[in-house]
Amino acid sequence: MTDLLASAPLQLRAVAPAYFVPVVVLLLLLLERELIRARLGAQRAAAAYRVIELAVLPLLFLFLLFVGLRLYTMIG
Amino acid sequence: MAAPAVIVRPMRAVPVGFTAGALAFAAVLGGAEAVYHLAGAFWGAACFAAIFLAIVQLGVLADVRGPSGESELAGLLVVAGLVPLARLLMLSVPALPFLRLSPTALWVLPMILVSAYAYRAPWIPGTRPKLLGVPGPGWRPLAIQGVVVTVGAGLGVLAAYTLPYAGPHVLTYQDSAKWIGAALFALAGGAGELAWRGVLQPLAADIAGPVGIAACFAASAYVSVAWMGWSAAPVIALSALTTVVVYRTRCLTGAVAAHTLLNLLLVVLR
Repeated sequence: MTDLLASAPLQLRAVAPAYFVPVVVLLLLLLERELIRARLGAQRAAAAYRVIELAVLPLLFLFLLFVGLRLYTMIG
Repeated sequence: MAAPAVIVRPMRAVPVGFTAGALAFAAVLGGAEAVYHLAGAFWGAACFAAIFLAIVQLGVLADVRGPSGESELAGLLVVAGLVPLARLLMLSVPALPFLRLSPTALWVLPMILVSAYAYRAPWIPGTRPKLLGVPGPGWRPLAIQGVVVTVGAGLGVLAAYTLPYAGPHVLTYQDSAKWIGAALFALAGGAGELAWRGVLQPLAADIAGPVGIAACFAASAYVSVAWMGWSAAPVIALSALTTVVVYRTRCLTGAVAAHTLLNLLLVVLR
């Protein structure tokens, strides 16, 4: 309860290892996106891109959220 | 001629591969859930991440290699990836005291984003149900949606007063930040309906008929229980109703409103 009523509740003080799992997944997907281009060629790669983009979108958003909160904590 | 309020589509025979695939998928998710409970959030998140990556790989392979007739299967694979993704987001999202009533509800934001993207994606096959508006003219389609919303609200109130709960009450906090947590908790319901009933169910129904619909319902029930624990009982009851209503009417309006309302009343009144 003390934690919930903290004076600066937007701050992300404790960073858990689990927070980094989506970041690793995101990096792997972005890496794969680049590898696909070389492996499949431009036309067939386009079909794969859309599948990967669907997977990348929420992870990228979560990553930006995490970075934003962490930066706010460091600055504020 | 007026369009019928209730749409009945012919069912396809269930492909053997679908049942086997769904059972294997459930077993793998169960294994990841066991790892989470035995080894903690990090290893649980790692397992769900591995499942998610594997499904994305299968989706890429099916989408790139498959002929046009197999695009439904590729689409189903891609959308089924939302199940481990939801669990991955739940386990790895930062807990924020600012959200007061639901500090881990931030996972809802990326889930809403990916659900909306999948719902709008023209390359994912299947006729998705209408999100806004009623399915046809006359009072009956409107009444069906109204009944769904009323049932959602009723279940929310019932759950708030009957289910045991030891967390913070809405009156514990005086600031307005608590409403952001409550709003995210409520939006989780709408996002779930959009993902499971709006995107996954039409594809599963097209491929496997009633078995596909049942599998989709089981997936949504699993995600609800994994997030809310046994407080998810009313959510599961509503999901059973919305599964049938959305399939028969091809309209998501009532389902999204009902689930959002249920979650909102549950978090505010309990």
